[in-house]
Amino acid sequence: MTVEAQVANLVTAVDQLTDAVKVRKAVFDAAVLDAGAARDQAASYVPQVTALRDTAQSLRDQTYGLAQDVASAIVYQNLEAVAASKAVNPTAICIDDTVLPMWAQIGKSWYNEPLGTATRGTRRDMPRVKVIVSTGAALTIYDGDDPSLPMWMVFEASNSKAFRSGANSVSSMNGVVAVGVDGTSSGLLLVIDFAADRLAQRFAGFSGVIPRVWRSVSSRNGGEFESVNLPDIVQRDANAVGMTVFPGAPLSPFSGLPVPTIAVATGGGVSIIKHDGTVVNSLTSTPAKSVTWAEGALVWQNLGRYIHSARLDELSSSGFGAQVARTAAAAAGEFQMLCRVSEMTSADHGVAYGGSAVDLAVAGLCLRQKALGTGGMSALLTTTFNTGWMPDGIEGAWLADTATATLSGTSLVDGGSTWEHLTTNTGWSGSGDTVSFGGTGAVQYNKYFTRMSSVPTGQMLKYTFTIENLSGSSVNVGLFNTSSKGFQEPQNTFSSNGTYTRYRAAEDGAAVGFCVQSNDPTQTVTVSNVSIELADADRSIAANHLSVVGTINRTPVATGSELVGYGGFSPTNYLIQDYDSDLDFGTGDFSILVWSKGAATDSIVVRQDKDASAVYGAGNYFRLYLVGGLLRAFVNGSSLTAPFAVTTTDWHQFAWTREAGVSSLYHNGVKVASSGSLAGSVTNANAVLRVGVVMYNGGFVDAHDGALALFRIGASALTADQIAHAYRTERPMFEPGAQVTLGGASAAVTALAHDADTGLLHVGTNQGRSAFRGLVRSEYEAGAVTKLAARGGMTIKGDAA
Amino acid sequence: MSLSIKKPAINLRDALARLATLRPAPRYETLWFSGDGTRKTFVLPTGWRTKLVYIDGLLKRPGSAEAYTTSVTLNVETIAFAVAPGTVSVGVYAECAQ
Repeated sequence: MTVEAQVANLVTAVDQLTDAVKVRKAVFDAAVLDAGAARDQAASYVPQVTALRDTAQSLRDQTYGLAQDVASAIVYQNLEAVAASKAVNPTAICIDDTVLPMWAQIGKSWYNEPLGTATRGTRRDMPRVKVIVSTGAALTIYDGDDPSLPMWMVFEASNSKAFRSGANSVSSMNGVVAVGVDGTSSGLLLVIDFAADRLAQRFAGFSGVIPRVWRSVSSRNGGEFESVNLPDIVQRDANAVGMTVFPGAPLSPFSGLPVPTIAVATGGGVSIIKHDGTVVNSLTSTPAKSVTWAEGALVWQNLGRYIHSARLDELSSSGFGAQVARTAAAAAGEFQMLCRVSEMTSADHGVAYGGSAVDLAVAGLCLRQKALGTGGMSALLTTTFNTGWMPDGIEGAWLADTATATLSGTSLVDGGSTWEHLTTNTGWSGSGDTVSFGGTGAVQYNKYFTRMSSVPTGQMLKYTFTIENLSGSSVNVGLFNTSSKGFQEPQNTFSSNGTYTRYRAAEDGAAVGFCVQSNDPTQTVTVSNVSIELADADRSIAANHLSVVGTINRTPVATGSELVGYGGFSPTNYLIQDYDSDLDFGTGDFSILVWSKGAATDSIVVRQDKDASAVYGAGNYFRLYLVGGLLRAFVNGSSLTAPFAVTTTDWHQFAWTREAGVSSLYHNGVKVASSGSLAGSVTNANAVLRVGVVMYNGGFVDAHDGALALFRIGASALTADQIAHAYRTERPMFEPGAQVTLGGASAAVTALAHDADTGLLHVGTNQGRSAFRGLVRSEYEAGAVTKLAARGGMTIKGDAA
Repeated sequence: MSLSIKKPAINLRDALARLATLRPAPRYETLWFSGDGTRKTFVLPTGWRTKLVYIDGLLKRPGSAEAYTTSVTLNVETIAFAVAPGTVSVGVYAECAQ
């Protein structure tokens, strides 16, 4: 290629490059213009963005502040306590905190009801905590989630409505409420099923009244019911209801929750409505007053004297249940109740019974460790004592008191008291411990009495006397209330000469006297050797009280505690019980429980010949004591010794059981030794029971150097689990400040409620509400109680205010 | 007549603190072995620790000069008796925290 041609090519290339540069420049110019416009636009947004940033900053600060408030509320504040009251007269109350799922609520008639009416509160869904209260006018469910407890739903009372009249019992769980109404002509059982949206009345027999079903809960206060042939309950007089969920109960298709089983105590026995709606009845048709489910069993009582129970797997269509207890002398296979039962409820590891003093029964709270049959333990609590756990077949529960007064075996009569006529009369002469009537009186049934120095009210007194020269009809002799001017006991008539010993608690400690009443104006009688002494009460049904030799001190087992320990034992100061055939166990089973705090070698209890001139005496004996710190049991020369020593500075629980000839020793609830070598008979018709000392070779030795408390003997062998339970629940009684009795002055129980969530047992009397954890009272609130319910820490109390 | 409803205040701080410290409860069981008069050592399952030892129902004291001692290797505890239990049941009340 020539030079010219090359130059021409270069020129062309330069021109093309120039054109390209021009095009690119134009593009750049346009971009610059766009960028300028964008810059101007962006600049115009700056104020808005700045404002938004400031707003965000402000919101962030507010959010932080609110978060701080929430944190402060959580850290420094509590959920508000509930303290509400309703001016209503409750006939039955109940708390239910079982949760009905939302899907089981939505769409139901009651869920869609208009809110804010007289029979419907302002909350649509069902409260988690439902406080259910019956009065004569209505059954009202209150919203327990709200501290002010607003009304959630009302069932008006009317013969034409689902809730006919005031209930005496209400139970509720898993969306089902069972309501018992008593009355032989108007009683019924109402079952409200919120998930199924249905109400059903259950009666006994169709004579004139057909069971009614309401197809929706929202129609509860109307008359739009249907008559449906539902299975009968045994009687319509529904005194009490109780609900439970059986293991493996089917799930409700309406709620997804296990279907509860309902027990209703009626005037004709107990009926159980099973999960499938069928009904089975108790074997006995005796009117049942209360019912509860406890420890896998159904328990009910009738007439206050009899307790029946049935296992869950015994609830067959052919009938169920057996009598397991009574307040009178128990029959074989029964245990003896200590109080006339008016109230009962399930409790931790058993049943709690509350009642009053009728006949031989004692007013108080009876805790029963076993719901079914015998082989259990019971504890009796009143306003003045707590027995601890007593094995079935109890033959004595001593050293159970809260009184600190010294027990003296000196007669209160000694020293020559002044004898007085109740009404002016002649023929009497009295001096010191002897009084005579010479048959010259003018009035029949005249009384001659003497006053004693004051003793604590309720103090057990032992009185002995000799009747001589009795002619004519009988005389009445016994403890006398110098205030009311009457004999303390009805069983005080004597028609023959002789020496007598009786025990009776002082009904008025400031007015204790002794009286002889002539029942014939012409008779003669001399009552001599009159002696009244303090005694240690046997708190058991056996009433085998202990006499005092010398003086026994009583001091709290710990600082500020109610329970007292008995001390001051010595060869001349101890407790004794004369021969008592109840303790002739032969080669049979027995249990001994006792608390001890003392020295390394201390006698606790011995049953031996009254006069043991050689060794322990010639007759059979048993003994429990400490030697060198080791717990040891003896039966007729054969011994069993625990393998290690106990401390002398603490309270210890010792137990000795003999079952089928095998003895076991327990220390603080743990078995520490066992042997079959102590199988001999302990029956001894010449034996006495000595506490705190032993007679050996004719002298008294090994006096207990510390204190003893809660000494019990029963004719049955407790199990290792029972003794461990007894230790766990009795140990807190020995802690400083432990309160172990019912609060207030009355032990007649008017209401019971067990809170399974807190473990507290609430006990109501006409004095107040006591709350127990095990055997120890943790709360007391004064004020008469007529009804109680408790759940999740919430308590409801009906009172007479 | 009136009805009084009460529920103690709930201290949320305490309630939350309790929840935060919840741990699975330890398991307690009685493990049974058979003595033969010669065997002196008994091995517990992994993770189990001896609380109480009974020979034929009688509680035994632990310690080098007592009835038995225990040792742990790789989370497995072994009970060594000073004297071999006879042909009786050996009950070990044991805890498993796992």
